[in-house]
Parts: sequence; C-alpha cells; structure tokens
Amino acid sequence: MNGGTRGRLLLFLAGLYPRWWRRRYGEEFTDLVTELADDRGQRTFPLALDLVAGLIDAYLVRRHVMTVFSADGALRRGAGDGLLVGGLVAIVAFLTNVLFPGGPDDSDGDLGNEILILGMYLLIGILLAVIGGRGRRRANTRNAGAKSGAVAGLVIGVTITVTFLAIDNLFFGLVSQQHDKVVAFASSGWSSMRSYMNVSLLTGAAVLLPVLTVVGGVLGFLGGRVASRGRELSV
Amino acid sequence: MDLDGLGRFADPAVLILSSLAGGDKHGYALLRDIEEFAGVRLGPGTLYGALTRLEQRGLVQPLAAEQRRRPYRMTEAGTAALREYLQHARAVTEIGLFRLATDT
Repeated sequence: MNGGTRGRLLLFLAGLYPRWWRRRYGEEFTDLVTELADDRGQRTFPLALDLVAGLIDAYLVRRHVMTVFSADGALRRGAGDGLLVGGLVAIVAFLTNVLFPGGPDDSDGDLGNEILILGMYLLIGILLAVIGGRGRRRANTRNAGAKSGAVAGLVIGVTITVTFLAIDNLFFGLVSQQHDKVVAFASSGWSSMRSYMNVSLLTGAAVLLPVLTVVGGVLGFLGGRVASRGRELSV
Repeated sequence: MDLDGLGRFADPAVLILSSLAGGDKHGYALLRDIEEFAGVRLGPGTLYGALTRLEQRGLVQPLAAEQRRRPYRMTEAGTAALREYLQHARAVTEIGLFRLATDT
C-alpha cells in the first residue's frame, strides 16, 4: 500500500471515532495518526487493527466513564451501604410519620423524641465509620475509607430527602396535621403549606447533603484507619 | 489501587506512566519512548484508550496544546499509583527470581 492510500485509510478510520472523542482528542489524535502513517517503520495492518479496536472502545468508553465509579471498590461499597442505611432510615420515617404518626401535640422537641432523633444521628455516625472500614478493607487504599464514607453520607442524605419529599406530598393530609409543621407554617407567612413544606425540605437538603458528605468522609476515614491496622496497603 | 479495573489498558497505562515519569510528552513522543525503553509498540487507539482512562482517574493531566500536539503530565496521584504498582511488581519479581535460584 503506498503512503497516500495508507494515510487516507488510517485518517478515514480516525474520522470514524465518535464526536465527543474527536472534540476532545481530534487534533492531537489526527496528528499522531498522520505521523504514524508517514513512519515507514510502522506496518499498515497492525496500525489499522489498533485503530479499529480503539474505535470500538471509544464508542464503549462512555460506559467506562461510568465504570470509573464502579471500578472503584470503595465508592461502590459506600454507595451500596449508603443505600442500605438510607433505606432503613426511610422505613423508620415511613413508620413514624405515616403508619404510626404521633398525636396532635406530639413534637420533635419532646424529650422522648429528642432522644430518639439523637440516637438516630449517633447510629448513622457509627454506621458511616463502619462503612469507611468496609470500604478500606474492600479497596485497601489510603483514602478508601473517606471515599466510602463520603459517598455513603451523600447517598443517605439524598435518600432521606427523597423519602420525606414523597411522604410529605403523598400523605399531605396526614403530615400537615403534625404539631411542629402546623406551628412552623403558622409563623412562616407562607400561604400554601405544601409549598412551604417542600421549600423548607429542599432548603434543608442543601445544607444536609454537603454536611453529611463531609461528616461521612471524616468518619469513614477514621473507620478506615481503624480497619487498616496491621494491614499492608494493596497495590 | 488506582490502576485497578483498567482491563486490557492496564499494561499500556503502566508504560505511559513510566514514560511520563521521565517528563511531559505528547502522543507520538510517548510511543517512541515506550518502544525504546520497553520494546513495546503501542498503537494510537491503545495509547488514547489508556490515556482517556488515566485522565479520568486523575493520574495524568493534559497540558496546553502546542500547535496540534498536546503534551501530558503525570499527576501526584499518578506518581503514587505508579510507585505502588512498581514496588509490588518488584516484590513479585524478587520472590520469583529467588525461587528460581533456589530451585536450581
């Protein structure tokens, strides 16, 4: 195959790469292919074969972008465990708000409820540290615990937010009778209780999500440190 | 470690990082250097498949393009990942060589 034909073939193959690829690597990639096409030491068939393999990979690489997440055992462990803990919190929220709601004067400020809420926070904190330990054992890298804890914290926060959004809107008639919500709504100046509840929840989530992520990261890191005692880092 | 899960791009990734350990390089210079120090001739598709993944993992970073060529630089995370990998490889090599020596 003469140089011109060979160059056209290789550049044709390079031109078949997906748009996102060409946008990101187009010029430098074409430049490299051109240089290789001009290099007489390079054989055409292996070059073309490699370009085709790379072409297939480039169409699949979007999925690989996603699998950066799934390839990281610590992140995957954090997400899975976070979903489990978030699911448990969601069940508790459903039970206490929908199936067994408190009386009309029941408040989160009552001593019994305060202890329950505090215990829940404490339990989540302990679980975040445990998740960090599990992440560290899974990936066995220095920051694995922090990664697992941070992701778990974020997932728990999102699950809690979505759960309460669902409960507040699907069981509005029930939830809108809650003492704390009635009092807060009365002093809020809002005209729609549903809107007030949703906006309050989302505003709270804007604070809760980053806080839970950071707290999860810190506790996960500490849990990871404990779990890593006596273990060599893997390579 | 950060080089886990790279599949068929694991070996090219190590070669690329080893090459970048000697300084920033663009695609063609990487291929030449790898061929020189490892005797491996990577194709452009393999090179950029591995570079994409290394970049996604924050192990290499692209620098400003010089004309149409874009050099790449190994990040601190890339340095740490390569060091860990090579130390492990060295330990395995030493054990293998030791066992070969004592076996004969």
